[in-house]
Amino acid sequence: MIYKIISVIDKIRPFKKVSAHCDIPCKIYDPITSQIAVLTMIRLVDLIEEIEKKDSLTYKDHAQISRLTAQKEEHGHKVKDEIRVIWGDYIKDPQIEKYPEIHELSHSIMLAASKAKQNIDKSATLDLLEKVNRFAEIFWDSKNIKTFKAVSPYPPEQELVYPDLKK
Amino acid sequence: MSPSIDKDSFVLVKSLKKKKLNKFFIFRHKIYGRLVKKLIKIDSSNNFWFEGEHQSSISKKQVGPIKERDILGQIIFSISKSSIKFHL
Repeated sequence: MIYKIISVIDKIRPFKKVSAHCDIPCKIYDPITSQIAVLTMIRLVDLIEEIEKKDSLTYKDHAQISRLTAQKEEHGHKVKDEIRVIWGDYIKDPQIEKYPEIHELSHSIMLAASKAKQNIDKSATLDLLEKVNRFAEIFWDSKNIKTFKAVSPYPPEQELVYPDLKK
Repeated sequence: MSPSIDKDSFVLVKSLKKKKLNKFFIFRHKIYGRLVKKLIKIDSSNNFWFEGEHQSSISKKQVGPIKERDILGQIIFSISKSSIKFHL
């Protein structure tokens, strides 16, 4: 009853709106989640390779490799999911016209993420990062926000594209 | 802001001097506009950190540090189609 009364008032004299932002069409997108997921994949490869350097592996080492590999798989899925949402929901005709590479780039990220998931191969994860960074550059440019590159202040200390939000 | 605040709820907001942790606030964000999130931390530089409750919510890192001047107020109560909740 109260809700209905307020709804009527809202129609006559609309209240200000506020968003909580979940994955609903509220125009809130950010490629940083996918970028961090790629960094995580790179870090996991580093950790796996460290274990592999040992002369002999214990059952604990095997268990740790399994765990790290599973996490790498999960973050590979995250990269794909995050890019797909931005590509599918945010990218529309004006962006496609301005950035004709966007379809091919998005598809190449899907393939690169699969390759990085399937293999323990640092070069594959670095290739994925390069593509996701390019995607981030395009994304922020489409919002007229300048970007800069900086090395992440934590392992694996790789270069990321960040938005420059200072006015 | 589910599950605490249902989608399409109406909320009453009050500007309070003292900002309590784990309460819901509305604030301005440079990218995302006007947001509602839960206050989870006030750091030593007096930055306010927020996060959502829903698993699909953007993360604390995505929201980033918020200055006190950008906090518009605390949610006092919310009215959804099915319930009225107090958040004090």
